[in-house]
Amino acid sequence: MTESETSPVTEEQIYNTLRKLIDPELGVNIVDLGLIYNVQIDDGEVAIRMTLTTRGCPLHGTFVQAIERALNELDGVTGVTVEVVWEPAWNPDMITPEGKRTMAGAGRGGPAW
Amino acid sequence: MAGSKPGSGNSAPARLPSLWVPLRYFVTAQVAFVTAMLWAPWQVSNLLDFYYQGHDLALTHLLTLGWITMTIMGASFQLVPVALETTLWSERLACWQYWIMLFGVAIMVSHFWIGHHEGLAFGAGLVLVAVILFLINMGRTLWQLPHWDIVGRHMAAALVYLASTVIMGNLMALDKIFDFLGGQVLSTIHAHAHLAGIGWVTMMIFGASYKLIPMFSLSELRDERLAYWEFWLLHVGLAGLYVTLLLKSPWATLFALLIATAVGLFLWTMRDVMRVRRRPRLDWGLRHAMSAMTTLAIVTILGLWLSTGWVPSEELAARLAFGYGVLALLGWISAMIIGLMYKIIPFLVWHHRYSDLIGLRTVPAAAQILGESTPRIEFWLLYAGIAMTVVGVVFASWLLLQVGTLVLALAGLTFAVAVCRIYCHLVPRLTPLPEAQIVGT
Repeated sequence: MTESETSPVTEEQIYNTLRKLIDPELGVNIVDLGLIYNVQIDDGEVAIRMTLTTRGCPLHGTFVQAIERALNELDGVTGVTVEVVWEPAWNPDMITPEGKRTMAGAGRGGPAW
Repeated sequence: MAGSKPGSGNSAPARLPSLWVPLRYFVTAQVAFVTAMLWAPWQVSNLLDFYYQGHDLALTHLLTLGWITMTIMGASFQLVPVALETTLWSERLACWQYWIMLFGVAIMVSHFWIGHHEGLAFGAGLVLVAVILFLINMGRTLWQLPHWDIVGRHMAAALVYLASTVIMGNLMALDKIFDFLGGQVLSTIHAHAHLAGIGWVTMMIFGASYKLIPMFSLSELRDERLAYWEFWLLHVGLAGLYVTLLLKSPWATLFALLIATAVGLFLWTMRDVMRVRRRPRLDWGLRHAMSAMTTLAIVTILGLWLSTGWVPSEELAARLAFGYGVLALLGWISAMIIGLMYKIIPFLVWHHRYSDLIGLRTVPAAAQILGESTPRIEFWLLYAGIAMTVVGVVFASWLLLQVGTLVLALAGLTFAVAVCRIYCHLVPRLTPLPEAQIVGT
């Protein structure tokens, strides 16, 4: 236990955790949607710089809280800061190929898109 | 582990109103729609008769006020904060307005039905009070806008037309008692209907579409100039059409042409939005919207034709006008509203039930809350019913009208099933989560 508490959290762990947060409207996780602009880890303090698909999005608070909750579950994380920015503005070209495949392929049985 | 720092951002998030503010409007509107659809098959004889009569007007106002206006009011409370990045001015006022509107519509519809003019005028007065409260709330909300984009302009204009429509409706109701307006009653009705259908409802739908259709389809509004042209053409066209309809002037055709051009610009813009969309598959919400826009093109051509007066007989002109009204009310406005409801209500319910569980549990997506099969069945029933009803009205076919309205009743029931399944997610006992998976582990 002591080992896991002191082992530093990695960027890969952060991204893998964020991939579990799905946008309810699009059915794609927030990493593959291209919403995460930057992840910084400084001695267990995680700083996320992200955007949303549209300004004034009602999911603003939902995603910020969800990210804080999910990342705080990770060993080695001592604090989480989420900054939502609008520059550069998000556009659909920021969706990763994996995200596009999810949207295109998710027909019957998938996340309904 | 140290506690997490609060999230920060350089832009204030839109604050959604509490769940019941829009939801009570939506539920009431849906009850009104289903009631109207179930009522229509019993009104076939009246529908085959001339449309200016109490029973038809009761049914029409149940749809226009109970279904369409109630829905738009609820959607405004829900969407204006999102679309315009602001906050609803007063939730309490919205609640008061709801009860006044509800009683006003119920009194109006029932007194249209029994032909009691004083009761009708009282109901219309209550609707006017509710609309004034709505205008105060929306006006104060829009007042906070830092800049007026194309969406905000459409919404503000629609509110002005709503006020004009309701004031005119009140004058018409009082005229039934005091007989002071003069002129021909049918001309007044046509002007009132176009003020409501184009100025209030279509203007609002156009404005909302410029924001919502690109948002839902993952696309963009590439050329706003066309939208601004559409906005001004619709104004000039409607103002002119209103006056020329009242005066029974042949210049109505010119203004109908301006409106048709505005509609063409809107449809062209939406076509471009859909062409560059990144979302490959259309869900049932967007399919309804696209079909409604196709129907709008047909409605516009039919309206243009009627404005020319080149119809062989007055009887056919009256039946075509009624068919035009049914197509506009159901094929354009109702189908569009159903489509937008299939996007808005699942999100509203999802946000209330599941937003706090993201990051903790696996939760369904908004589209999964709606499902696929029920909206699909409702879609085909709705359009089959509309087609049969409109053809039945135009060709005065009792059989087609009877079957068409029965199919519409089934469409209404199917719609009720679709929205009830969404609402079930507000009750955790009815829709338990399948597994207690912790997302962060």
